[in-house]
Amino acid sequence: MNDATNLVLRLAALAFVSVLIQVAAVAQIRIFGVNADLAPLVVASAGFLTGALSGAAFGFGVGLFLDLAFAQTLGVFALVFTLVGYGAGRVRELRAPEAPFTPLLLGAAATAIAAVGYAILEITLGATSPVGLRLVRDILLGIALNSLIAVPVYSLVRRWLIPALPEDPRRRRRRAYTTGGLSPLSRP
Amino acid sequence: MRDKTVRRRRALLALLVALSLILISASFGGSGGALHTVQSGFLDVVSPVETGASKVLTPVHDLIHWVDDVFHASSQRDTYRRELAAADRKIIALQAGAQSHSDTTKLHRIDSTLQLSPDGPVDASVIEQPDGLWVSNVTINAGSGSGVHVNDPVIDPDGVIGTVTAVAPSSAIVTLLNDPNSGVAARDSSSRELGLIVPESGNNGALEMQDVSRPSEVSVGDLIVTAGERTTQNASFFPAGILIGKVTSVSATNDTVTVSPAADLTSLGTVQVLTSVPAP
Repeated sequence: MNDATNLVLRLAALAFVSVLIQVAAVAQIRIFGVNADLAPLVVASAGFLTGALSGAAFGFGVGLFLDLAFAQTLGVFALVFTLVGYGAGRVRELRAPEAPFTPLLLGAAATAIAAVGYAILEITLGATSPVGLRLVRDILLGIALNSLIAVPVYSLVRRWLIPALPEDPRRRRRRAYTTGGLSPLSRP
Repeated sequence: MRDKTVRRRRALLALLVALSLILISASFGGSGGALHTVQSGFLDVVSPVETGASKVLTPVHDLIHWVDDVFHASSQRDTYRRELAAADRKIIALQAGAQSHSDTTKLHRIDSTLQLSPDGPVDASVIEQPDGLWVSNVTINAGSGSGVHVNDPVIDPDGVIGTVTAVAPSSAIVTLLNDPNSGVAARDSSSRELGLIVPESGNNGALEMQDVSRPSEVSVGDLIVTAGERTTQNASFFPAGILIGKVTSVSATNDTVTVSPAADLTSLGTVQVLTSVPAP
């Protein structure tokens, strides 16, 4: 099995398990009056680790899965998470941030984009839920709550995906060890 | 090569966004019959998995609920504690107000029964209780500014408590009946025997009626009231008929009459100073 197939399988398993945990457990637990939302964190982490192309596809898959699981208007979550996955991948490609708090900021931004994007789409589609301070408060609390779990979620996703990633740092380390720290091309 | 990658990436993004929009349009408002069939079929397949996952994750779910409940209970407990403290303060204030009202009512009843109005009664509160076994003074919050003088008699709703021995503009010191220097002319309300009320030696909480000419006439349970006259040089002058206490024992061997004070001299609240008692 080549790396690309391995990555696709791992992403599919990640999407299935994360949506299942979100629907079966996390969505039912309210902390400070709001739910944590694993989906934007997982999509952003996967997009950040695998790139914009895979991130967008993964986000679309996770979103579609959620649309189906929550029996709501198809395509809403799919559209929002496509953009989140793509955006996270582009951040990595353009900036390649290495700071230790990057996962936290990434999680907060992904949650904010997902929450605001979802709210805009729902309102555009004629949702009757009240738009006001309550909605803003819930979005802000959701972002805060997700920021708390962003780092561990990113670590788990990274641990799961890293064996299938082409730029696996462990491989780089292994290669460095066997070649004395130099690329075989640079040997005299 | 790079352009190709960029084009591919953008094309995929456009494709996925377009697909999402098509899905939204198709399923919006219940118009997409086929899509809804797919959706319900998906739910049929996924529901058992969700149920299983939910059961597996129940302990985690319960743990988080428990933590949430603990925080909620903790904040509720703090709120209830604050409310309880506020209610306690309110109850204490109400009880103090009720006690003060009850004392004042009793005092005014005594004033009216014994016709003490001409004696210039001034209401006051005890602001410093007797401190320790050897102290038999209290401080009240009325002084010369209210017309209080040295040697004015002081009563409380239960009876005589003592005499003013020092006066400041807004406070005064009252020496209680159980002070060794105290002496009040008294009469047995049944036998009309006269005597002098002094503290019982060695017993701070009891009084003794001295100089009784016929102690055999005095019986246990008799009420001792103020005489309304000075029986000895040392006696303080009180209007007649104010309750001092009740006879608890009469000793035939040394003609001693022991009296239990009617007022609780260790816990005094509202008192009245009789500021205009005419000299005998």
